[in-house]
Amino acid sequence: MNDADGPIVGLLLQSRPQTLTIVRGVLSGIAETLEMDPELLDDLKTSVSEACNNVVLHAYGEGSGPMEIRVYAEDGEIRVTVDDEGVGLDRAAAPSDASTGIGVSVIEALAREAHFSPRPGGGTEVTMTFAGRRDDHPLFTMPRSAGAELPLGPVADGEVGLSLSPVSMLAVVLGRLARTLAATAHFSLDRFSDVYLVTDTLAAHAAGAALADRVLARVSASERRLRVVLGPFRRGSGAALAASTTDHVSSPLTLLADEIAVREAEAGEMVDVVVVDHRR
Amino acid sequence: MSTASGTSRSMTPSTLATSSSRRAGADTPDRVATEELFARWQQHGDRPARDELVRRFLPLARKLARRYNGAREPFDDLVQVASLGLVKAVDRYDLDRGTAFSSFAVPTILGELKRYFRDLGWAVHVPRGAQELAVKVEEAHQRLATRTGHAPTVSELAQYLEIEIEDVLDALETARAHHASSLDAPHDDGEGESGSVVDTFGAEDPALLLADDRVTVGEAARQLSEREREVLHLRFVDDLTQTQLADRVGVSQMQISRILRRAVARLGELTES
Repeated sequence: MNDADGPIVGLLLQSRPQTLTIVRGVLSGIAETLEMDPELLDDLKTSVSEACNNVVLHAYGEGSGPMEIRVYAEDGEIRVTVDDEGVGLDRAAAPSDASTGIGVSVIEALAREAHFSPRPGGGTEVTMTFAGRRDDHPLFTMPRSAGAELPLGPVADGEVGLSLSPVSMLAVVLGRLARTLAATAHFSLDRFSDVYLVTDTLAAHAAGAALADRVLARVSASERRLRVVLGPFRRGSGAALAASTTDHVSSPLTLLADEIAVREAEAGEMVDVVVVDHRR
Repeated sequence: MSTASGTSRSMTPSTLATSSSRRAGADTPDRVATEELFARWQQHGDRPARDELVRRFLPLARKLARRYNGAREPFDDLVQVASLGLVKAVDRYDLDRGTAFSSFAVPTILGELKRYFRDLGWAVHVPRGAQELAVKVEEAHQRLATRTGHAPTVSELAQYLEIEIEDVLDALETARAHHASSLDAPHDDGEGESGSVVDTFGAEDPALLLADDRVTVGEAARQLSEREREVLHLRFVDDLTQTQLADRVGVSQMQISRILRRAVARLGELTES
């Protein structure tokens, strides 16, 4: 294990009650790629939900603000951090018998270790560590080591930032994230199923075109409209994805997406895909 | 430490439910401090004090039970298990150690919930129920699609089945994983065709080819299996929805979704190379 390794998955979103479904969906995706023991997944989901709930309910008063979740797969353990930039959690002052205190007790009961620390510049970081072995059996498959972390940048309300490494995890994790958002955006199951095809195709592209062993995605959804921006990729690689049907070879993506654009960004090329559910 | 372990087992979860609704007696008004109640119970074996403690912390047990509430087991069962954990915690709590009761009770109650699942041979919160739920979701999907003429949304399914959106999403994942290994299993290399439910719609129109401009994949298409080409054609050239396609072909939308997914993946591979 190397300290320079970034998280296998980083997730940045605005703290809102409905974001919990997204976080839990992504955790399920991670569990699927790591072939994680179901009880470990359940402990992870429960603890991370508690930590996120705390952010949603208390970190920003009546409002909301950024919440970042990072998942690290390390030798024999899973570590998760949940960060906010809110008012700070003064544990000593937390009324232990009130509902706010229960979340902390749940985390402490389920995680092998839990720390609650103030972040420099304001806010709180919760760090939870979960045992990756039980009775000498591994509870998950160690992924190839994760690439260095890349900043996710600010996200707008309703937008989710995803940072992921190694890229081989993308199909499952991006798939879960996109489908969860499509579900909240009221996609019919027909179009919802097409989202599988879209994220599969994007993941296949990423496997060959990613510039590093980490990709960043920005996924957002509004009523019956889903948008995925993914990269950074090698310059010029996106042309094949967006190839129009007048060529003799067309990309599956052109059959499925309503809009496909390839944009130049500083770090490389970003593919921008929009899927709309047109049916009533 | 607790001095009263012998009597605690006589209190079953069902008697708890009663004690929560009645006033426990003249000497246990709400005003009495929790610490005082613990002292009465642990030092003097005062059962009404114990009942009041359990009553007072039942919301905590319910809260924790709700965290494990899947679509599989009745919520009331979970509340009973959690209540049993609460009773244990009340009996074992050591007032002198200075930790708040709730901090002590939460791990005890969670432990009881987790053991309950393990005793039933289920991993907490997952498999068996997931399979059953996947079947229910698919049935609901068919029923709603027939009734309304179009595929339902995830939230419509959740509403119809009175479960969480998250549970519907999990069920859909399970259903796909399940179909992958059973219903349309043969994953051939595009040559031979055998044994799959989707073969049934192959023969009727041999002219179905991806010659259309919209899906011009040339050489690539020829390397797809016949059924893959047909499904692609119906979906993208004839622009049928997956539900219409499923109707036409006589299989479930879920299976169509899988076939499409595989075909598009192969198409992707072929066109990339």
